[in-house]
Amino acid sequence: MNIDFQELLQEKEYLDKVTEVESYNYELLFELRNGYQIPLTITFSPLFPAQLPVVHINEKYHNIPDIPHVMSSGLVCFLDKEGVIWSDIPERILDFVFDRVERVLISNSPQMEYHREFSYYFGTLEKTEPVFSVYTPEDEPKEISVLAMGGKPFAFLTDDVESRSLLSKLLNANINSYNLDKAYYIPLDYTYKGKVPQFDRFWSNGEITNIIRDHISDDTLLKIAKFSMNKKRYFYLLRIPLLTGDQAIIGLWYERVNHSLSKKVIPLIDDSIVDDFVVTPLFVFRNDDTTLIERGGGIKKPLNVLLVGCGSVGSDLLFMLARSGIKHFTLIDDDKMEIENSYRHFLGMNKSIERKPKVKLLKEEFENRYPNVQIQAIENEVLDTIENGEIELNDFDLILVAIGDPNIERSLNKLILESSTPAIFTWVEAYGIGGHALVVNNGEKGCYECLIDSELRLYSSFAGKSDVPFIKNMNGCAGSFTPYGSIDSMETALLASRLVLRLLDNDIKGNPLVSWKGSSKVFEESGFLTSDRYNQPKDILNQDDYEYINRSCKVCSNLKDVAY
Amino acid sequence: MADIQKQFEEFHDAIKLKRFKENEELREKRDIITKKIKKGVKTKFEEMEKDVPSLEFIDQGSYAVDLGIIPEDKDYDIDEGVIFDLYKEDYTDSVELKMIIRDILENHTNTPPKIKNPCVTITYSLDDEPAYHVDLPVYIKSKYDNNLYLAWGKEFSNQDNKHWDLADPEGLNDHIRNSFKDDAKKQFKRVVRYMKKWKDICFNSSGNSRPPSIGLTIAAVDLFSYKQSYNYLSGKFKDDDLGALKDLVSKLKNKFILKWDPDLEKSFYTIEYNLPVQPYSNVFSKMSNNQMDSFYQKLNELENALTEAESKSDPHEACKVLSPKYFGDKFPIPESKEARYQQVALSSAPSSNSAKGD
Repeated sequence: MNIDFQELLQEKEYLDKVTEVESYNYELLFELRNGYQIPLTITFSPLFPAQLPVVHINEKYHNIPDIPHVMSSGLVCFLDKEGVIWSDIPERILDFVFDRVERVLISNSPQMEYHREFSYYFGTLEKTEPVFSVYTPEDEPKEISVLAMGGKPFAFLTDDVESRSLLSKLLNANINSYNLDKAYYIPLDYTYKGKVPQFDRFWSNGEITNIIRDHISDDTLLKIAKFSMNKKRYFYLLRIPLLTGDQAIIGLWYERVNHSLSKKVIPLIDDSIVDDFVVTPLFVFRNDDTTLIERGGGIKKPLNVLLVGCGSVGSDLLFMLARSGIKHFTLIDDDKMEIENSYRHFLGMNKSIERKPKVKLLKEEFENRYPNVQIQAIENEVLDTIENGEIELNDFDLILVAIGDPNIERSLNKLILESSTPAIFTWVEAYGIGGHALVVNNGEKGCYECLIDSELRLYSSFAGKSDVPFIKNMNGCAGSFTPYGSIDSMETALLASRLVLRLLDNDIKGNPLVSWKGSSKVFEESGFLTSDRYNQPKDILNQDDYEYINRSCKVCSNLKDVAY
Repeated sequence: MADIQKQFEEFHDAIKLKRFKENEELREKRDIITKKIKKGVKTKFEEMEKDVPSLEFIDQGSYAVDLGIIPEDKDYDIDEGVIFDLYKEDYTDSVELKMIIRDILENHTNTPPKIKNPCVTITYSLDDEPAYHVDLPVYIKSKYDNNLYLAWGKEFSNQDNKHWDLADPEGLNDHIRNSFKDDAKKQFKRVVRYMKKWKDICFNSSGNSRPPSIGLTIAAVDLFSYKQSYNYLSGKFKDDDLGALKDLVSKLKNKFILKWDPDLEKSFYTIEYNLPVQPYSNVFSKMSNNQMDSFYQKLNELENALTEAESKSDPHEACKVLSPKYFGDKFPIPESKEARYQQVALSSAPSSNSAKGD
């Protein structure tokens, strides 16, 4: 598109003195609706209007104000572009850009805005250093540890086996107590209402001292008073309650520059020695329990999950749940990773060469990727494992069954119903026609056995009755391209994952069956027929189905609901 | 906080009444009258075969202290005190000198001059509409002190209602003029004018339902404090008329006390404010309990409106709260966002990017 930007800008009455500096770049005066005139520069992209222009406050004629969303360069961050679609009419875009710019420039209560984006602004500090933290913040001041390398802090932690091994895994290196320095964690007691440090404007040492002293109780001060040392460097982890009600976690690294100073001090609160130290702000990347759960999607208590079957559906399920914040898994599978089925498996082909047990490979892979995840691997058949007492079903919060063998699943169903642990069965059908997930043992009637009728047909099935097993074409291998295999197992794992999260969120009543329906094209071309159930609409199949429940089921009808 | 200082200042420019020295016409009128009075007094006293007293004139009222606003009804108001160098001990009838003034100006205007309790009023008309009037309070001296005494009473008042009242017009002018300096003084004048305009807009003009201007002025001298706010954009401090006005309104509101009226069996918010000079009388004394209570309620509404305006970040929204309801249509409202910018230029669109959790 060939756009005359000069003309475009000049047509706007709120813009004045539009001057081209170079192509795509213009100086102008923007009159805010409160009458304030501010000199700006606007730089268009050759991709305009698909890309928005960049607006700066013109440093030549105006100071760069200390307000949110205006960077020290004068850049006006008028829009978080993610998740919006804007007009493709140039005149409208200009209106919308200047509307947004005006909003930034006349915005209310600047301090609140800063606090809302504390981390972002803190991260813009010029000399900030990144640091990990695997320490879960508490409400009391505490002596903790810091892993420092060459004097430079790397991670805050508590000096216990668990934290050290977590960090060891993160770093892929051994960490012992003697690698650690002392650090102090201090949660401020009172809400901080002041300025948020940013760009080249960090707190001075004196300001820090005042902020700490003004925001802690006498009790906290007494506790901090014990943290006095005679060291070259001091590390602090601070929790700061903000105006928004949130809490920011930041670190401070004090490096002594007055080498004649030699006594026990607490530079954080001692204003008589502020000039004896250089302070570096630490931007904290939290890898502790609270943040992982918040980001994962809401799994709050530590859960212990039994996953039976680690094929393609099982491994994808594990992957999704680990990313949702579940940390403890016990895996049961007696299969080895084979090249034939490696295409659809989460672990991929390179892992299949060693022909190792799937459970072992998964344990390695997941504990490596997610150091917080702990996996117990049992290489055995499940019924045998339960029978020989290797595991106790009541020890788990949830059982996931992704074996894909109806006969074993049927037996397992009985054992599960004898326990008090809810379970989710999930399986995929051939040729991409669909997949299912079923909740059992979640109170009330309904179980895997209910699905099976007197002619040994599964209620859920999308495939019509057939004497030929559907199994052959499921095995995609390197030689023959299987159009659906991998996506189908993922889709099924996804269906089951959502059910897991709903179950953990107490959002499921009883024992529903849910299904997803795919295309029947390949299935029918291969000479098979679909079932009546398959003909139901997709959205109906995706909803909780209780129709399958067999009131006279020999497994669940006399086990539960006795009290009713 | 809304930055509508520019709108306040534009409003001020629109309502401000220029002083004599900037307003030639009114100044001329004043000078014509004072000349005529001088000449008339000379003639009258010579006719009466008395010594002709020397006369002094004193500018009074909002002109004198530069706090005038352009009146809603276009009836400009000039106050010019006439000080006779005579002694009250020789003039037991306080209305005698006022009658002389009245007689001198008898045919000066189409509307005959009128003797009111505190002054003689000359009304100028323009196309049969009152264009402005000149109030002439008459003062006299005493043999026994250095005070001035205001001639109180009408032509046919009882003797009881005619008297010489201790007054200090010069002192009052000085009190107001000298209360603030420089930028604070400029803001003080603006804020008093905003209050006066608010009074014109929000109060019924009949009787004494309006609080008297002098009352608002005296209270402002006492309660006003100069306010500036930090402008984050310019990085400078600048006058904050909204803040100063709000501060004055809430302080004035707090001067009211709840008073029980046993006859009406009702509580009223009432206020007393005494003149800072002779005769130290209550400037709100003419208002009834009901009127004072209504004054209080209106102050309360104004305070709420100013608070609301302050909370809006959009200047259009902020000004809309105040104009025209509280300050009339002279208070400018900047264009709305909708009027300036074409809307529907943006909507949220679900995308994988926006779905990510961190």
